[in-house]
Amino acid sequence: MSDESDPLRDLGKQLPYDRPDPARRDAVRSSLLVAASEGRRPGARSRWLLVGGGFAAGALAAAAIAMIVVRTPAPTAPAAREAVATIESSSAAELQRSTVTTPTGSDELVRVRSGTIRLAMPTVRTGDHVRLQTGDAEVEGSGAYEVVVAADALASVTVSTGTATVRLKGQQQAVFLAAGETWRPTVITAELEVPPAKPDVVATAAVDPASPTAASLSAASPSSSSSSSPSRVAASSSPSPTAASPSRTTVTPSSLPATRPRVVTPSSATTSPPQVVAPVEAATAPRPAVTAPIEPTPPVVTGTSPTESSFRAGYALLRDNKFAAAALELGKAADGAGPLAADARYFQAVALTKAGRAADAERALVQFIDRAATSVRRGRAVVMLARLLAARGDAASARAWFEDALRDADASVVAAARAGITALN
Amino acid sequence: MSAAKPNPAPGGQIVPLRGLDERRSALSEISDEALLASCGVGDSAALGALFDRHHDAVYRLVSRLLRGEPAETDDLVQTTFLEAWKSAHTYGGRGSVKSFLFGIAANTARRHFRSTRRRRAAYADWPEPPRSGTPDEAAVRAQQVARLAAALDELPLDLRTAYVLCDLEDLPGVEAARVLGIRAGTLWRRLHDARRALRDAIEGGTR
Repeated sequence: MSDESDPLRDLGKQLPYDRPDPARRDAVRSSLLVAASEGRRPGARSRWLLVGGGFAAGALAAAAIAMIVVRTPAPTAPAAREAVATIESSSAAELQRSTVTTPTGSDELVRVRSGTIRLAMPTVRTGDHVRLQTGDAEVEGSGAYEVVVAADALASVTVSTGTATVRLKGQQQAVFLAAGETWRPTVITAELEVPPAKPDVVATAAVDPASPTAASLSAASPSSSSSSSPSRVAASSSPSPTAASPSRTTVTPSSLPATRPRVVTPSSATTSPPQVVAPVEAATAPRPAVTAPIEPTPPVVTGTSPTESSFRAGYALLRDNKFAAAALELGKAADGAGPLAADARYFQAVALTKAGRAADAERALVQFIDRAATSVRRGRAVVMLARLLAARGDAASARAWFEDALRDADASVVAAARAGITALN
Repeated sequence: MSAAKPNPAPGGQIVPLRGLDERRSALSEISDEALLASCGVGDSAALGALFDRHHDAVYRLVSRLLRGEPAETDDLVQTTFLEAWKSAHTYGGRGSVKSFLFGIAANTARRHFRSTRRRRAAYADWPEPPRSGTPDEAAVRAQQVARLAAALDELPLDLRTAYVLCDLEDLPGVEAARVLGIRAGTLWRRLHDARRALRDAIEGGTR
């Protein structure tokens, strides 16, 4: 029977079907997660729920009648309850926090104009609301989540525990996020060309030029794979240079180099419109033409420490165009110490850029620039960061970083920076 | 404006970003079974990951079983995953999670079909399938696909479900029978009847 049915099977597999576009799929996904979280918890349903529901309905009806009959006078200036949200913010964050009492509980509003904010909510009682508001969106969640705001526009929301709902102004459909998920505004950017890297670190151990590792590393050129046809990268906004740095584990503002451009200032945040989404400018602006006069050479790694092993594995993956896996491995190496770790952060940023994870790439670049202020790769990292910022429409920040790169000792970096500024003009 | 600077949270409960990255990475590597088990204890992120992994297959199955409007298909797919979320604890590890989802999807589609009973649109408006070979061959192939689609639409839903699950989605017969809640012999019978009817329809059209 199977022999007879094979042609039929082949024919059947050609039947078209209704494949949803990303917008439809995301809408269904959000709706599904909302439905799953709204009281419809998994588990065996009990018939006692019906009985309990009946009693509850009766109780509600009685309560409603009681409220109508015995109308109590309006409360006179009730004291606002203590804020229920625990907030951590970057030192550069600009926010205001207020709590008002509502008939059903409290409404805590956290108005953020820039910076990185982490909110953690213990149990929020029914009727209480904790909302985070930016110029273009509102986020409400339970549990813990991190929000990045740049120029009064929501740049990303990352939920670590619980859930969060993102409502954008002018859009009816809210975006629902579960733990472990990140929301970013989608913009289409121009092709991102990764500038090459130069050797920075040489391990002290002996190097066998014929070894596969050395050969693969020297052949592995992040920029060589960047010469592909222009790709549309769904980039995200991301932490601006000042907004991304305040990670508790990595950078403190005091460690930043003196020449670091401050691209998001309170004044600019309040006077300039949100610049998160600018697909037209990003798509039409001429892309800075960065050539690669110097063949990138990675650090020669021959040791066996975890950092070195991760670096070697990550670089090999990068060479094989397995960008996501490369970013993971290089991230492990970057968590180590020393110049190799700093270089790993740089190449992780390259991998992330290639993988289309612009926000994470920006974050990695900012970390690299902060950690390796004297690295010869710094200029290239600055140009990469500036291009990512330009690609997502943050022209002011991009210009500041391009101008910073003009002081680099590498002529190719300076040329790339000039080209970037020209493109912005 | 005056910017309020809150005090750092003592003993903050916020997971560092690195932990989030690891969690996202772990979600992409975790098995279907573990994701479903996580659904069973209320982890909505696991449900999202399960949706990301299997929504395409479920869409394909639902739209081939019931060629409805996009919104109708969306509803059925969402219902399928929601049912999976609610009944995740009933998954006993027999068969794959994909089969589990297919079983729910097939039953959801059947309930929907019975409740609506509306006439499906003619298959003439199916999009033309991708062409291959010479133009003549491609034209014949396209005609056959169109005939198959029309014949599939005319099949009783039980036979159609058997054919789609076993022949188009490559579900093993025993597993398909189990997720549909029927005996294996019944499934084979339905599959045999479906294939014969479809073959007759295609060959009849070429005579």
